[in-house]
Amino acid sequence: MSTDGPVVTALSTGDPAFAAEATVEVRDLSVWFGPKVALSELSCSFGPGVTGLLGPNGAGKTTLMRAMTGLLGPKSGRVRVLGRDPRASREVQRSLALVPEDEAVPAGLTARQLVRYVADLHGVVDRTAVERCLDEVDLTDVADRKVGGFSKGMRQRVKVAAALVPDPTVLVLDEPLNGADPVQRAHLIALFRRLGAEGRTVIVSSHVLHEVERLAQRQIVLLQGRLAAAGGHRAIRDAMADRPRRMLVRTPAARQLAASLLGLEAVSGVTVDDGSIVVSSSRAGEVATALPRLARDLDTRLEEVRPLDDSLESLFRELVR
Amino acid sequence: MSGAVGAVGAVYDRGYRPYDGPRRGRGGTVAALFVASIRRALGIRRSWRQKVFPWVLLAIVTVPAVVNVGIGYVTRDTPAEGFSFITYREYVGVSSALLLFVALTAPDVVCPDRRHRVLSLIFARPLVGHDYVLAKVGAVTTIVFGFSILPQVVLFVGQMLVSDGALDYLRDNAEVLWQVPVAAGLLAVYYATIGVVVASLTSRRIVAGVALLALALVPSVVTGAVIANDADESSPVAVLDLLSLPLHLRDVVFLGHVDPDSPLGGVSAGGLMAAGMYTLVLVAAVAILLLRYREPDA
Amino acid sequence: MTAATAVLGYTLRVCLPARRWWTLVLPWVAAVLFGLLSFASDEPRQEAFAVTADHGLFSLLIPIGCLVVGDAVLGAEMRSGTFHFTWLSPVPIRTIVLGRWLGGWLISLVALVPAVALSAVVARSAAAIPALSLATAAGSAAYIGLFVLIGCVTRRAAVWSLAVVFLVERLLGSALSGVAQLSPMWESRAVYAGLGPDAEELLRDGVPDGWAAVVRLTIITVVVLALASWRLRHPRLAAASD
Repeated sequence: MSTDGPVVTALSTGDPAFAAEATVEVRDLSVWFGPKVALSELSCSFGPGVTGLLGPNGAGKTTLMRAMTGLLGPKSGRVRVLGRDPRASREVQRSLALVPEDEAVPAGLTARQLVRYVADLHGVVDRTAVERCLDEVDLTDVADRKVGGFSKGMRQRVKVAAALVPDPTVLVLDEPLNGADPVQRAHLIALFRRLGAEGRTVIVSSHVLHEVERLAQRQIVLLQGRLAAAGGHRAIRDAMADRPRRMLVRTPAARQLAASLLGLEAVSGVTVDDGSIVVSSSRAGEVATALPRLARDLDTRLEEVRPLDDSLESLFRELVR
Repeated sequence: MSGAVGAVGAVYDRGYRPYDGPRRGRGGTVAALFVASIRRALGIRRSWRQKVFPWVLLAIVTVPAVVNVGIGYVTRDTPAEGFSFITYREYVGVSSALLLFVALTAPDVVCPDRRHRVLSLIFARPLVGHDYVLAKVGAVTTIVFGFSILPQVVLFVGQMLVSDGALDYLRDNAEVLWQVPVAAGLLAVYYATIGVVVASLTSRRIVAGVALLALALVPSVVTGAVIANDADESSPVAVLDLLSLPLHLRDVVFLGHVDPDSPLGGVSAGGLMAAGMYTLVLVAAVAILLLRYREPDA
Repeated sequence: MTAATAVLGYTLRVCLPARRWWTLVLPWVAAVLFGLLSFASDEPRQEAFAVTADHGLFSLLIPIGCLVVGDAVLGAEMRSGTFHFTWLSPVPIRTIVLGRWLGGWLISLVALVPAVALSAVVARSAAAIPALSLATAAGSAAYIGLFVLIGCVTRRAAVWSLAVVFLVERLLGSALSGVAQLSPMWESRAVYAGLGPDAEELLRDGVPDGWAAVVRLTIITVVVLALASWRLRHPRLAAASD
């Protein structure tokens, strides 16, 4: 794995929906608002490292995050953070932090006052913690301006600073990259990865899939209030055996190679287009192993071989279809 | 196999397309805003929680009508002693329930548009400032008017049924049929306009409600105290009592002149003064409203 | 800074509008107006002022002032979606509620007690000040607590608060002394009725007055704050509204 790959999360050898050394556990959680069911008997857990929480809008990600922190109560089922119920135990709130999605901030306070308020509430003794957190999110120069006048990205960052100041073990972030410009995004992503590497449980939901892919090795995917998939995204993709994988092969002898590929039993479809071939197969590994042999038999070279739907984004599209 | 079969095809669902159909223009926009405001205030098509207050208040205001009809029925053969039946004129009045109703409805219709920054969306439609004012004031007026009229209808129909001859009763009290709607209308326009103008000044419903109640009750208390000490208990100062101002006009509608027992009773040209003040208040309120909604995010 | 002080400081900072300082002066102006009003009566100063205090101060100024402040300290924040900063912390719920209430009470004391005192001075009934101040302080403690409770219990706090003051307290309370006994409006009035100079006119059968009323107001405050703490243990904080 390259050095800027995603942070490793210890996976249990069992069900990928449950992490080893789980810090946040959700069992049969159901939440509904009148006739609208937001979460339906959801069971999963989160452990140290960064986990991505994905799903289309309305899938229940925000509801799950608010239920995990205690802001919403489960209608049935239970939530445990570090073994305790976040609604019943005020102590566990010391180790828990949430960066919610909505923009609301107390308009009359400056950034510094807001972060200091949260620090005081958590009994943070370290005097420099506030400054460090503001510096971490790059808000030191505007720390004395009222947050009411902040842009969306700045509000997001001040919420992250407030969440960081109590040094939480579990950090839940709802769309933290929203409204951040590319430089800030890169900075925030590096921050989250570092936090995950320190052993904290970082749960991030985002729509910016190519960044979540680099950030979190483990994903939990929600669809319509239910768990749709869990685990590493490549593993999830492999588990979807009924949907064939696609590979791009560029070679000068495209048509001939395509013809011999069709002879392979693992191949379900081949599309030829002007020097490149797109191969569909549910056993992509076999095809990849057979390719060099076929190319050698035809005495042609392979200029490029790459999977077309290996990314989280294409997985997501397949799942949500 | 080629040709005819493959040549015919159809697409049944193209997904999102822009709207090409007829559009209703400004009048339609105003009407839509009007209806939406009424629905919001009365909780129509929303959960029962939103319906509780308007309908409970309406029930409270209807109670005297029911009581009157009931007692009228029970004592139809023997005259009742010690119970003065309410007259239609008195019943078109200002009760705490009505006041509270306006203080809850007007802010509910006006403030959320400002609070949720929807005003600029609304004004992106073919809508001008005074259209918006017209729709909102119209909506609150209609609701308050309905609120005042319904108990009256209950009273009138009840009395009709309880009296010896329904048609005779109708004939004898025919003038009530135009007096009550006119008086209720004057009242409704007044309270609706004041309610909407106060609510337009703030985006918090609670502040608007409180300001409205203060605006209604404080002058009432003040003028009441000032007049209480006048020799004949009447003085032109009574015209400053914003709460009871439309009641003088109601008296003019029903009696042709100001009620002699009211604080304006002994004042010469009292009716004229009341009408003048009423018009002044409405004109000032409308002027403020037009100014307030001249720019979308004012 | 301890957590409790932090909550208090936050409440004061968020609810005291910096640019709109003149809103704190409004009650003073209204109170002066009511004080001047007492001159419209021919009765001796103390009695005239007692009547004005009844109609103007206890029935209007104090409930309305407390309503605005009481909603701002908690209800408004829960609806606007910023309450999670406070709730997601190890601070005990009762500390949060107390801190919010205390902030609201302090603000209403600053806004209302000098106002009513000014009213008495203007009405040349300065002997009424001690009783009036006590009545205002005790009454606003109970009122702020009540509006804090309403703010935690419902999103339609405006509707319920106004209904409680104007329908339940004013209408029902003037008819039924059973209701008046539990009402901050009537009990604060009763404090003044019992302790103020020449205020016997304001006494009402069935409603404890003077120091008994102060005790009752304290009990009301404690009960509503306890209920608010209980309710806040299990919030339903979905996304922002209002």
